[in-house]
Amino acid sequence: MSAQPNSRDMISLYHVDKVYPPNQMALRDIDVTINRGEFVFVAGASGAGKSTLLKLLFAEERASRGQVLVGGRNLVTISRPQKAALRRNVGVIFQDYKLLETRSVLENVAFALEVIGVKKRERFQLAFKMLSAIGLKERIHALPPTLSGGEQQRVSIARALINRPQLILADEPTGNLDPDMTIAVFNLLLEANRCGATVIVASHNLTLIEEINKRTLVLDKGRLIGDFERPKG
Amino acid sequence: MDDLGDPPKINVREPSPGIGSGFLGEYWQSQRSLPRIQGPEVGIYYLQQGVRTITALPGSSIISVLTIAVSLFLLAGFLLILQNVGGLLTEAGSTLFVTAYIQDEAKPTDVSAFVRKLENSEKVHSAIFVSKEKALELFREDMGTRSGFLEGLEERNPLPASVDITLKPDDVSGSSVESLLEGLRAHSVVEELVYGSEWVERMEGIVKVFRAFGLISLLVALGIIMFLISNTIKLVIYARRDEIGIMQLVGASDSFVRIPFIIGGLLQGLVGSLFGIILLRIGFWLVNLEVRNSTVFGVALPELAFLSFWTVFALTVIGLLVGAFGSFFALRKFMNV
Ligand SMILES: Nc1ncnc2c1ncn2[C@@H]1O[C@H](COP(=O)(O)OP(=O)(O)OP(=O)(O)O)[C@@H](O)[C@H]1O
Ligand SMILES: [Mg+2]
Repeated sequence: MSAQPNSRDMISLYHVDKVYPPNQMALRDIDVTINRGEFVFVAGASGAGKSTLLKLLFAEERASRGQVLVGGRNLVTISRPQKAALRRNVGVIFQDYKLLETRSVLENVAFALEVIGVKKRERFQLAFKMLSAIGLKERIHALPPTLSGGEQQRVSIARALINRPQLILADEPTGNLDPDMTIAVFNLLLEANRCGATVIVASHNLTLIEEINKRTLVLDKGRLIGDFERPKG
Repeated sequence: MDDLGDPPKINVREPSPGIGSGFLGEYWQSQRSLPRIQGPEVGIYYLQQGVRTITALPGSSIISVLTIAVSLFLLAGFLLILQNVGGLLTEAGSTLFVTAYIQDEAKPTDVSAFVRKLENSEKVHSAIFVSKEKALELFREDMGTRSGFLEGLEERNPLPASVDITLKPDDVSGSSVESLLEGLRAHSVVEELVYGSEWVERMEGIVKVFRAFGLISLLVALGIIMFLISNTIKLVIYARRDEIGIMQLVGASDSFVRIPFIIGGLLQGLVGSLFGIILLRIGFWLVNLEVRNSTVFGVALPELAFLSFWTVFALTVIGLLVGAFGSFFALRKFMNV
C-alpha cells in the first residue's frame, strides 16, 4: 500500500484497529477517506467508537494497527513536534470540553492563539469577538467551573474555531445545548465549512443528522457499517 | 431516540437569529495573518508564565519554596559549622603550648643549643627561653602590689628557667607530637615537661572525624535535598497534570509547556535558597552575640566567620538548579499526551 497522500484527501484511514489496553477493541478495520472541505457526521450508539475515531485524527490516541493520514502526515509515525504542529491546525471540540480551569473564559479561548505566539491584544480581541458570536459576551471573565455545561461547551467551540483550523473535529458539540443554541452552533460549523474547513462531527442525535443531511459515517461496535452521502437521500 | 422534541429547522444559508454576527466568516476569509510576539517579548512572555506557575498554586509553591529554604538552611548551616569548628580547632591547636622546665645545673651552652634545635624543628612554631631572672620578674608582675614578700628572692631564686614552646597548628597530630614530646623529655637539660597530652590527642581525633563526617554527610544531605525538592515539585506539577494535558491537546509544543515550569522552578529555587541563607545569617548573628561574651577554659573564643560570598553564591546556584531540574524531571512524567 502506498502512503502517498492524494492532495485532495484530508484524512485517510487504512485498516485501522484501535485496542485500548488490555484488550478493549474500540475500532476494527476502519477504511475511510475524507476530502478537504467535506462536512461529515460520525454516527453511532454510545460506545460505538466515535470519540476514539476522532482521537486518532489529532493523535490523542495512536492506532494499534493500520495507517492514519491527516493532511498528508502519517500519525502512526509522527514525531512529538509534528504532533504539536498538527494540533495547531486542528480545532477540537472535546466531548468533555477540556477547559483550563484556572483561566478565564476569555483566556481559554485565546489560548489556542497563545500557543502559536499571537500577541496578547490581538488574541483577546479575537477571543472576545468569537465569544460574542457564540453568545458568551457576558461571561468572559468567569472561570470554567462556574459555567453551566452548555456554556463550557460553547467556550470549547469558540476555542476550536478561533484558530481558523483546516480541520475541525467536534465530539458531540451540542450535547448540552438547547435547540436554539444547537442551531447557532451548527451554523457556525457550517460557516467554517463554507470557508474551507473540513468538519467532522460525532453525534448520536439522528434527528439533527437527518436535518443537516450531510455525509454520514455509521459506526457500530467499532466497525464502520455505513457511509451515506446524504442520509435523507 | 429523539429526546429533543420537535427538531429545529436548520437553515444553512441564513445567519442564526441573534447569535453569530457573521464575524466568523469575515475573519476566516480575510486570511489576515495575526501579529506574533517576537524577540524580547518572547522572554517576557515566558517570564510572566513562569511567575504564573508559582502564583497559580500559591500553597504548593510556598511549600516548595520552604522545602528549598529549609534544605539550603541546613546545607549552608552545616557548611558554616564545619568551617567554624575547623577554624576553632585550628585556633586551639595554634595555642598549644608545651613548657619545658630546665634543670638548674644545665650548662647555658647546652640550653641555647636546645633552644636553637627547637627553633629549627618543623613541628615547632616558636621556642622562647625564659631565664630564672625573667621568670621571677614575670612572677612579680603577676603578683602586682602584693609582690613585697618576694623581696630577697633574687639570691636564692626558686623558679626554674624554662623554654615556652608553641607547636605548629597543622602538626597537632597525635603521633608526631608524641614523638616530639618523647624527644624533649629525654633531653639532658630538661627537668620536666608540662602540657595537656589528652587534649592534644583528642583534638587530633576530633579534627579527623569531623572532616570525614562533614564530607560524607554533606553528600548525603545533597542527595536528600534533591529528592525532597523534586518530589515537592512533582506534587505541584501533578496537581496541574490535566492542564498540561489540555495544553498539549490544543497544540502547545513541549518547550511551550516546559519553559514556564522551569522558570518557575528556577525562581522558587532562587527565592528559597536566598530565604534559607538569610535565615541562617540571622541565626548566625544571634549565635555570634552569645559567643562574643563567652569563654572556654577562660579563653575568649575567636569571632565566628560567616560563609564567604562565593560559598553563598554557589549555594544559591545549587538551589536555583535544583528548582529548575526538579521541575524538568517532574514534568517528564506528565507530558505524554
Ligand atoms: N481510555 C480508554 N481505555 C479503555 N477503553 C476505552 C477508553 N476509551 C474508550 N474506551 C472504550 O472504547 C469503546 C469506544 O469508546 P468511545 O469513547 O470511542 O465511544 P463513543 O462512540 O464516543 O461513545 P459516546 O457516544 O458515549 O461518547 C467503548 O467501549 C469504551 O468503553
Ligand atoms: Mg464519545
